[in-house]
Amino acid sequence: MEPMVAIFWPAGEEVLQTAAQYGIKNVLVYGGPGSQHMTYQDYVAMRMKIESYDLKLAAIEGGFAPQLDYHDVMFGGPKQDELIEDLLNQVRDMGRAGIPIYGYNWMPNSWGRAQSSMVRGGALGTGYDYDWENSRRPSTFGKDMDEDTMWDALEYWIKAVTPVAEEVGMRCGIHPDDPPVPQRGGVPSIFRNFAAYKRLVEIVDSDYNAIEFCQGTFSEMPGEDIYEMIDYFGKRNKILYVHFRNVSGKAPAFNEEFINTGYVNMKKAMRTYRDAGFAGNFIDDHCPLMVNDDDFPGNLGGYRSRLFAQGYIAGVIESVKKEVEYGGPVDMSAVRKRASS
Amino acid sequence: MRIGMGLNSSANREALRFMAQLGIQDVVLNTPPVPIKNGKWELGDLVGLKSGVESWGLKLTAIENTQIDMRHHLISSGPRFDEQLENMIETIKAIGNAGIPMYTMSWRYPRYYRTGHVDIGWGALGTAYDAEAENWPSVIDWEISLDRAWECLETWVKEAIPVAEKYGVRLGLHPVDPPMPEIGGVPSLLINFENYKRMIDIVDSPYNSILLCQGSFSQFAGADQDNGESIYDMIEYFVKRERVLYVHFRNVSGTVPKFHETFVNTGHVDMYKAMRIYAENGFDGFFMDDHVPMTIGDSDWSHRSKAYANGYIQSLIETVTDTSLYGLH
Repeated sequence: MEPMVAIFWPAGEEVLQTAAQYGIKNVLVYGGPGSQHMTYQDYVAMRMKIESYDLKLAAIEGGFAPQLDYHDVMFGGPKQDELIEDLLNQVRDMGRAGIPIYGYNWMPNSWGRAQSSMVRGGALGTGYDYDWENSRRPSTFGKDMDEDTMWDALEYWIKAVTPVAEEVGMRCGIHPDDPPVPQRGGVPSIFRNFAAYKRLVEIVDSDYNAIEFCQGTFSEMPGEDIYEMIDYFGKRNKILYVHFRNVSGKAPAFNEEFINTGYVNMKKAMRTYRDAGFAGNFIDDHCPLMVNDDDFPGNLGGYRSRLFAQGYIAGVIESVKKEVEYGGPVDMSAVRKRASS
Repeated sequence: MRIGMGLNSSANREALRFMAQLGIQDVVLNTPPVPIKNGKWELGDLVGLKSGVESWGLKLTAIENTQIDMRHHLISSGPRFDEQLENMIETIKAIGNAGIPMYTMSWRYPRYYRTGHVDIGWGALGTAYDAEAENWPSVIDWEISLDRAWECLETWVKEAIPVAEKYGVRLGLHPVDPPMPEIGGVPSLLINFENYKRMIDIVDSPYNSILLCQGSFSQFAGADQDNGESIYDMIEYFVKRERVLYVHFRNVSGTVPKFHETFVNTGHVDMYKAMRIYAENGFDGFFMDDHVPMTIGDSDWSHRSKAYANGYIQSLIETVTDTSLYGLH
């Protein structure tokens, strides 16, 4: 378990040097297969640039799913085989270039939010409200899309990509639908609950068919227990890496929070990963927007907000590793009892 | 145990909003620019200082240091000793009347300093000290023996503590940093375990306490050895006796005569182990980042580096105690 930072590419010197200075050894780059092809040479150059800072290119995250060009992959149209063949070639290039993990998603509408929300001290966290979005979002494709059709297309894809991923040694995993609501703009959100992920990992039983575990989104799933899902998929070696962020509650309405002010007990979550034998990395993902923060070349949140989350992540990883030799955290009720006696 | 942050100025809006957003529970103002009137601070100015902090929903828990020229003769036995003693006592009264619960200071003159900076990795800079590079001239034009230096401290503690108790201000003394035996012709007292034990015994009261700059304590000669006087032993000793007001939670590479500062999680001290000792011994104060390294692209006040250290400290407090700073889980 180690911290990881997620950045846009091409990356400037400042962000790579920042990661090196703060000892954040693992780097995730947003990108990957899609209509903007990166070549094998591009991926090798990316890896070497990152390694020149004594850092590791640990994952690429992105996806073709929200790109209209790939509609037939998502819904099983006439160009399905041709598009998949092209995607597999891109997957091979990434794997051969030494990229160990590719995280993608199955969200034709990408991810989404509604109004932002005021959180601690007037910082802004993203907010979501299903009714608000539903009353405003037009139909994406002019009709309601069929959920079974999407599952069929997904199964077809998983069966095609998993052997290629195994062959080139690059583990692939899917990010949940964020927000995890039944549909958006008439497109079913198929990865919106625990059951959907159990179904995914059984399509092909392989370590190369896995999960990009956005803990934030899993925490937003109505009716599900976040610790149970971490334990279940962690024990089965299905978690590639973690988006370690926090939220106020679950869909249909929630907002993002600072890492230690949401409803999820992040210490308990980290202990659950540890006990399940998880050995991967943690990114800060989205961070609240803070006063006068400096723009960061990555996801939501500037340098200051992100480094706060990174410090927290480094501390909680170190603590849950070290507490094992002490037999757990300090028993504060015993401390209080001693003090009052 | 709570999370704090310090600010080397008065209540500036941007810094206080930053603190509010990070969930800071205790604000410390270090050497705030309170006007010195007839050698002392006055109540009205302190009330203004406090309400400036409170207007952001924050709490001003401590003032750390008055201007050094309000107390340098007190520390170094100068000709204005009596006058500064009296004025500092009046200042403690004003701090208490303003409702500020702690006043801490470094019992040293001249003030904190370093001899340089070192690259602690990829161009991040930590402050550095090397006794061989030190070249302080004498800062006083009189003589002061070690015994007389102790007399000065004892006089202060004996005079100030009853007043502090009456006015409800806990006093804490910060170690001499760097903890060298003599600087600028003035003997240093608070540079080791033994002298701190002596200091808290001058008056046995929770109002006669310590600002545990863990960084400075970690720089004490021998603090990195398993010798019964390690940083962990010192924390345990003073926390058990309820003599620690709050903690500067920073890390260093080694001890005097040569050391440099590091990131909070990369020095010679195991910060997780240290945090456990505070918790196990019932510490009820707060922790703040201090002297964070300078990193690329950061502001003058090191917002990024402070945010990182503060996030790390928050997670250690929460994970060691298995509680939430904000009562959430």
